Amino acid sequence: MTRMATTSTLPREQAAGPRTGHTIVDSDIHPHALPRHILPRLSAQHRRRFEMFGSRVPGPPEIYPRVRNSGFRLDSWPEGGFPGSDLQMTRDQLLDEFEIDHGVLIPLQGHSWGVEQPEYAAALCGALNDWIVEEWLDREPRLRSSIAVSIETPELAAEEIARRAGDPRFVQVLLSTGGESGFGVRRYWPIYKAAAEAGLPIAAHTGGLEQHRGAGWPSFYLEEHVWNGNTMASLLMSMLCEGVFTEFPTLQVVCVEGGIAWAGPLMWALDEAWPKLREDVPQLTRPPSEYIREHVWFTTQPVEEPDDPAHLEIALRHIGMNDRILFASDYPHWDFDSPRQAPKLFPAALRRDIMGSNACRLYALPEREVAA
Amino acid sequence: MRIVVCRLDEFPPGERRVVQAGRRSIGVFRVGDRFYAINNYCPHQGGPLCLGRTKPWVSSSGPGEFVLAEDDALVACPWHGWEYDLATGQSFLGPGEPPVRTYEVSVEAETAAPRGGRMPGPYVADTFAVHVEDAYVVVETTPRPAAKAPGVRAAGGAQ
Ligand code: FES
Repeated sequence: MTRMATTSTLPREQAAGPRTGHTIVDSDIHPHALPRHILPRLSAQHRRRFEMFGSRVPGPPEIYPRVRNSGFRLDSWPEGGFPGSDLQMTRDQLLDEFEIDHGVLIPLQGHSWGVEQPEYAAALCGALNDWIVEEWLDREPRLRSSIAVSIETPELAAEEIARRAGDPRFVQVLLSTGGESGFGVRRYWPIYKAAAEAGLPIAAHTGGLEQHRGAGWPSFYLEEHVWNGNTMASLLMSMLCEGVFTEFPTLQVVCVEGGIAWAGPLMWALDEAWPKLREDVPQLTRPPSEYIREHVWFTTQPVEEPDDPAHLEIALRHIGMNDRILFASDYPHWDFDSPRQAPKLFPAALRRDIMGSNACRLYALPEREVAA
Repeated sequence: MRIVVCRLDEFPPGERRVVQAGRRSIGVFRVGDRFYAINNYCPHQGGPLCLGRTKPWVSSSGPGEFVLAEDDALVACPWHGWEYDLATGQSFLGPGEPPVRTYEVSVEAETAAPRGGRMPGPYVADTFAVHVEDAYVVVETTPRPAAKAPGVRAAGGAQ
């Protein structure tokens, strides 16, 4: 593969526009640690294992025959690195280029590393979090991050959450949509307990051990790519019906990269069936949609884009959660949404909230001060 | 405006140069002995089009069989991979047949002829004339008339 050594910045004519008046928060930026970043942050025993055997599940992008360029923007490959491994390139192509006030990192390697042999999984996630602190958060004040945890060993995950929770730059706990069990089951509750105690939301990002499953594995990337909303719906249903939101009434869940428009029909169906079946789920004392509206947030990339944008507006109206939608670019993935173009997808009245204000509220981030 | 890019002998086939023309950024490509110049701004979401890969037309008569045209004629945007004809800036998207939502395009215009089995998309990137003058490669930035694409608003000039 030819890798462009040139750093991509947009043509100057496009970049020179005046700073927009409102805050821009990007809620889905993917850093990627290289082996040379992880190795020195492991104990000798785990280092040896990493060198000899690597990890059980390959992380993105090896998991699929994806679209071109391994599923990354072609211009996001740094010299001798991997998309998302280079802070300066992320500054150049994203933070500076689009005048992003705050960016939230989502280290997807946590998805696959969180399922290893328990101590090894915890060590890999710990090393990943250390790398994020030292190489990203310490060097770039605009960034926040998600705590990578060993999701299949929830007690160890809870320890990692407790360890990081004192650092306000970690603003959420990273969960994948694909686990060994539905994420509502009790064995995962220590993760939710630790997150709730720390006052941190859970960010559920598509992918993980079970990929984008319904029954079986998809054969095509197209299947995977547009199925995100369905895996997100099953994660939420599991958490809801198993009583997670009853047990942890303050817990917030951010559905990252799962679309939005499916949430309305899901709530219609739940609310319609619940009165008839409620004896089966005594842990739900109110209509299911109420829990969803109180606990769930969405990010925009990839938001459903119907031919007629008015249809998206109608779907959003049915959902009624416009104060819980966060802008996401998904940098450096190939389906990156430009923060300059994305606002056009949304009704004008919602743009300021979606592009930044909602995220500032959720993550307690300061809004941009605008000269009067 | 005329912009001197570089000396011809410093611009071998297969290479490209990105030049600044006032507020505009323009990619100049040398494919064989032909030169193309195209606006470094993707009409889709504003990606830096000229950092993308160039590629030839490909045709296939069936699984496992394909023929590549000899020269690179297309540039694929580095962001989402939309492809544009280097000569005209015409976009070509989609996996081969016209997606349902663009049927209007193929009905409206005679110029919407498929190329290499693919339907022209609705977007056109700006292209510019390039010529060689006393062994210097020169771009002429006076806007060329936009490629005639069906249902497309005038594509030249300012975005
Ligand atoms: S910005 Fe060029 S393909 Fe999307």
